[in-house]
Amino acid sequence: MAKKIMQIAAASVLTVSLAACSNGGNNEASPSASESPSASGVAAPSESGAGSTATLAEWGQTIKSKYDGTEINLAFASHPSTDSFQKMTKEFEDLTGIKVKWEVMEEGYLKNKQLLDFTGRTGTYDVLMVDGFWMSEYGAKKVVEPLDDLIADKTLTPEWFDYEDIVPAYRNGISKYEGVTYGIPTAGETRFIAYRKDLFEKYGKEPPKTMDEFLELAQFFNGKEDGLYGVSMRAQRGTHAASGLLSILYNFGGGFLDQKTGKATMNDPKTVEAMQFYVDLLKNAPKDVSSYTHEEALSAFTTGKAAMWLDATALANRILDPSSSQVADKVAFVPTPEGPAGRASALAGWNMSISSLSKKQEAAWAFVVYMNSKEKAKEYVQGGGVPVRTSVYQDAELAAANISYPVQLEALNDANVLVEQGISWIPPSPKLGQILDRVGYYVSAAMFGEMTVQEAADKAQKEVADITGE
Amino acid sequence: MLRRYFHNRPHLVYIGPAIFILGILTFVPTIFLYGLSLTNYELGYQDFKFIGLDNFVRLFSGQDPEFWYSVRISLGFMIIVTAIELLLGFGLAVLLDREFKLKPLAFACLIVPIAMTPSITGQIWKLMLNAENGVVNYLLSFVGGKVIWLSADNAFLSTVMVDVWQNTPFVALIIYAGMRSLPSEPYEAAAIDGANRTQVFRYITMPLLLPMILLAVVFRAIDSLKTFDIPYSLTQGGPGSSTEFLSMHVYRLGFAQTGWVGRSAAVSVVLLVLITVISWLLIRAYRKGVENRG
Amino acid sequence: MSTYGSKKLGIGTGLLLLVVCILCIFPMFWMILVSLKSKALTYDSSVWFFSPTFENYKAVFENRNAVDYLKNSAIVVVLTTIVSIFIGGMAAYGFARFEFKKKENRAFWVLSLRMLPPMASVIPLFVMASLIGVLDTHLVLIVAYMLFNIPFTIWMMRSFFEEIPVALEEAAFVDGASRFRVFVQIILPLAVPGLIATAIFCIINSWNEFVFALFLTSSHASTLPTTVTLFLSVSGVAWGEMSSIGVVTILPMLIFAMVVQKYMIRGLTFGGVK
Repeated sequence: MAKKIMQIAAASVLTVSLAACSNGGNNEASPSASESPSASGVAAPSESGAGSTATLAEWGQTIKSKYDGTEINLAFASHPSTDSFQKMTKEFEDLTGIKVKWEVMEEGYLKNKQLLDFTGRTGTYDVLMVDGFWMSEYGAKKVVEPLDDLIADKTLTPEWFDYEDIVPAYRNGISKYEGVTYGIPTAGETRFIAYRKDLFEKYGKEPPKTMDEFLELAQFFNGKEDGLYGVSMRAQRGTHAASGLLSILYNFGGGFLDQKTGKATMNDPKTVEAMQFYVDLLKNAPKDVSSYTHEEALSAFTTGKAAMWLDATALANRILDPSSSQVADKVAFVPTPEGPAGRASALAGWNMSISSLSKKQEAAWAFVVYMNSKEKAKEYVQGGGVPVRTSVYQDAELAAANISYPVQLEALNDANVLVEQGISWIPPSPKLGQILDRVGYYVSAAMFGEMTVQEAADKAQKEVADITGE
Repeated sequence: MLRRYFHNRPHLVYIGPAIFILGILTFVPTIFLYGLSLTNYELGYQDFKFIGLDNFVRLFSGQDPEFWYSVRISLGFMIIVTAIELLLGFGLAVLLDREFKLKPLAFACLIVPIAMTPSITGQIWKLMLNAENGVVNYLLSFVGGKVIWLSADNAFLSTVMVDVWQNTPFVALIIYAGMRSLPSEPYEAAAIDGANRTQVFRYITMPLLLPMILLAVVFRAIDSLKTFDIPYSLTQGGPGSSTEFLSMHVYRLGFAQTGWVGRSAAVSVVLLVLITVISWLLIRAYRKGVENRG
Repeated sequence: MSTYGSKKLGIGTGLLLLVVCILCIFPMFWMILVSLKSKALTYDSSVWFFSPTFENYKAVFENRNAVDYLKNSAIVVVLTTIVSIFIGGMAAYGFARFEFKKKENRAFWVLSLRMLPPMASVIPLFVMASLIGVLDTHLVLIVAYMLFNIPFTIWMMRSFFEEIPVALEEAAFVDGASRFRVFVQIILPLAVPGLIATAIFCIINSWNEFVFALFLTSSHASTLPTTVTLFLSVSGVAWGEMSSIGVVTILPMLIFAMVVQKYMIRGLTFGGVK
């Protein structure tokens, strides 16, 4: 009996690996193989004349003739941009005849679901919303399809899409892995500080320009009024704490990895200094900051519990929205303060990608093109979407409606400083998820005083080196 | 041939299908799990290597301090919630074991926690325990109290509290049901012998109730050792590692964050062994208790 | 019959019970309250009286496909319960009526399966399900739930069958009925109260199950408990919507449990009387 079970088990393990191998082979050898049925469809319109996609309406006709009635499945994160896309869906469906089935969930679950879908080779989803943080991992695992050929093909990606209009920092910073494009940036974010104008005026303070001032101000305001804390940031153990640390790390010249050699640099003095700053800063945060994701960090600020807040620009709308924020009319914004290593700012965001298992890649691409096109950009932003296009930032009407736009652009310039140095704000490693988890664990441990910052850095160094194998 | 086989073993016709289904559903996955725990398989990658006992070496050589922490708090959680729920449940059962008109209504209230979906229970408690805006602190503010329920220091106890809230009624109902089914003869005999209430309780009620109490312990101890739904939605294992019970640890290692399925399988194996040993001990104690009674 | 109790309810104990009852239902009450609040009021715990709005329920049913989840939950729960009760009931009868080698060992093995941590079996089950291509189907959940429903049924029903006098069956045998016919026609009808009690727990456990549902299904067969993952987002935890789908999830079970209260409490003793 036992022997038989062993045989079955062995057989099933073998089958897994065989299945895995054959699949891997397919993916690598011929990405076009899975597209072949539709590939012939692509050829047809280019023969009949590429002009048929020149305008949105004509493109819609062409797409409809090919994919009318096709149903595509989406796995997206709950995000203001997703809400905006959902508002635009009806029009897309009418125009192209493609049916869109949404699945929207919190990002932690989303990544899990996308990876499980990929591992189980179910191929349920066609379009994936992918965090810039996951891109290297997804690229390495071939969860998502390379897009360069699709972007280059003018019949599939018409002029009115205008890929070049997307802020270069986003195009290069959050959607590529080893030089190959795997996603179209849909929602970009950098990070900046929101502060309470009223409190700063009351106590005659100026908003922080340097990291030192930032820390001093946090200490100053902490406990200054009943129930008031100095600062609010994300700091939950794991990814969130690591991401919080990243928001200030580059201003100190630190890094998780040396981006040229790929070696871990967790106990580099500059990284340690940044970590120490982050730990010290959060001593002036609400007592349960160690359980904060961006969500709790934001609500601590919008309910008036914190004098300052450093987090994603994408959340600015919610601070300024009187229906969800008690401080909507009392805030102003400044870019991330200058640190010992100068100016720098975060560069993160979300992409739309095509699942490598999708059997309807062209219909999926039509969706991506439509939703992210320059033609639709204004409608998208007005629906609450987070901008990624230069043309949007420069649009006078949109900028007038959102007081954070000028600061966002300024922060983006800071972010570009890193790009020019050839540094990717998101550490480029296919093992990033694991690195963030481990770094976040030790940062959190240092925050609890379980170990000193130096010890935490040394231990993180060892684990990160172990993960990257360098 | 086959007919004779079954004719000689008539029970197989009845228990066969169940054993077959359960066998497939347990043996194969378990073997599979053991296999996985010997690999470096990572979620999303397609190839993996057998790396022998490396994953276990990592666990037992102290390279994974979080693992031992998880083991400690899981066992601690098991002992604490089982003890509290047993005491409160027993008290509640005594309260219920009397006649009053609104009894069905009281039962209706007690059933609410039992029937509430744990994953959603965790969420709703998270909302209620929110330090700044939660209703619990709002109510406490009338007596001048404020507790940061989900801070690193308190999250464990808050999880205990939610578990106690959800499961005490279950324990109470089991014990209550036991009290109701007590035979009357021993009490009549005791009354004739002139035993006082304490003696009756000590020498008659307790031994007779023992099987029910043990039953409650078996259920609660094992279920609390494998607790997942509530910490998953209440704290996600945090802050820090303060509520990262073993099941949570398996989840965090093996899925979204890091995807180390091989390592996570090794932790699962440990969890499995732990639970098997503990349930074996408890069920043996339970059967012994039952035999002694009958 | 009850000799330990039979006391009257005093003021003190009455108040104590009242407090316990309030504690028990408060989270449910609060969830209903939040689900009826408008978005602006959600975070304000001091507001207890307000004009209720059904916008959250509307949103949940219109945008979050609550009906699909409800349907999936219902299909999975009903089928897994029926199959588990039937297969488990047969096995319980086998354990109750026959003597065979290693009987107690096997019974113990069955019971110990009830103790398996789902987190340990879900990874291999996931891989197996993906191999035979049944991920994200009702079938995979129906089968996975048997993992805890069948052992539970065997364990509960065994003691129940043992209490039914053997003489009843023997009389039927004399009349020439086969054992299986006796089981279906005589024993099962007698065991209906026990079957109901068992079914109640199978239904509640399956309805509330989370781990398997979370990992083995995604879009097509997801059940209600997994919806907790939908309401956390950058744009705020939608507490109102979360609460309303919570109410949608819990209310059917609650009403069901209330209706069958009597059987449920009675059922709790079966396992123990053995």
